[in-house]
Amino acid sequence: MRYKAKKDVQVGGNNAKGDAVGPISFKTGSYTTTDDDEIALLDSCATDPDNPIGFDPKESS
Amino acid sequence: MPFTTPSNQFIWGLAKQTNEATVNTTEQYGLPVYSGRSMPVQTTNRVEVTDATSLAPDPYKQGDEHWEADVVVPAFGAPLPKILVGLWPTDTVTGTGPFTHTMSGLGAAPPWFTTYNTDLLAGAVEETFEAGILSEFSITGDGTGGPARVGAKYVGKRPTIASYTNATAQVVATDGYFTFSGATLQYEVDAGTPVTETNIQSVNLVVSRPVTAIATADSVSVGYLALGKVEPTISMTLLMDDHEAYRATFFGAVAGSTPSATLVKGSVKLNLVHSITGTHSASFTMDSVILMAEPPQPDPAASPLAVTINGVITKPASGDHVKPVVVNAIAAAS
Repeated sequence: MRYKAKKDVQVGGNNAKGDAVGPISFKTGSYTTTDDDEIALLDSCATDPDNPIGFDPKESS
Repeated sequence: MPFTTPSNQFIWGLAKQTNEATVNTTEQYGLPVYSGRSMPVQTTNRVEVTDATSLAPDPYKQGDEHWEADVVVPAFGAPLPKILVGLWPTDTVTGTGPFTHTMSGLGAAPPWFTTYNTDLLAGAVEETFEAGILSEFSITGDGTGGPARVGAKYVGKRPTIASYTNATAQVVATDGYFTFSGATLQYEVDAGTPVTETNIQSVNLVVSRPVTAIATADSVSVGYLALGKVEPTISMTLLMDDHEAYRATFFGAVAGSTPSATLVKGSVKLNLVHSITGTHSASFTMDSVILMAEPPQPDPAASPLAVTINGVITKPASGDHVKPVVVNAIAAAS
């Protein structure tokens, strides 16, 4: 999955077992991953209207 | 006669683990406390069987040794996201300094923490408390000013006596703190957009998630922690200046006059300012809160009429029940 951010963003979180995920940096404006834990973290951000991270629909796989 | 041992020379430490198994041997933050420490918890029982003696049987130790912490610390700017991430596990950091930490994910699986007790006296043991979960966060302030008080409760698996590397402890005078004094406090009884009010005498926001240490037949210390449901609540004591909360609570609207079957939803936003760095701040936004008033009590002593509000924070249209945002000097996500 590919995600985008309009500004410099770093996000950190954890998976369902409490293991750390990230931090993931968006310094280049976009981030592509196939890691399930990162996808779960970034999906939660992208579906939150208050979060600057969003889906990149043109290049999602 | 020797001097007694003073009880004030204590620092409580905190570190977020990368996973359940990897215990941190280096503190990420050291914090002076108003009260509390991490402490081992164990349960003993007696073999209650019939016998011919008049003496109670000897106790034995149950297999539930674990640790708990119930600490109250000043609201230091740098460590606050590290505490909040225990209940809001996603930390989204923006900015180039100062950095804005938007915490989210309330109710998702939490991260693991190591906590530490550091007695500053020579010869004291170093205690490490492994694999803990934040079970309650609270932030409190009132008219006495000073640092807002952050309460943090943890339940964890195994206490050990083990050496570790201390972080440089936070210092009130030089690191500063977040305070409600001079900040803007906002609420609205019946609308989703809070407005600035100046009649809040005291406020206490609590987000709890009960954590229970679960023993197994073969355990000495617990291997499992059970997570309960997240429950955010807020209580406020207001100097009485109108009957809006009272009428909304019992009569269904701020202009209501007869009992209503509905509960009125309002909103609250708590802002905090930093005592040293003007660009640093913290806020807790609650977009949907049922603010229930207790009837104000008359007092022959003519004390100020006050009304106590107990708020149940409910799910808003989007995002978490409580939305913390911290602006500080820490660039890294917690």
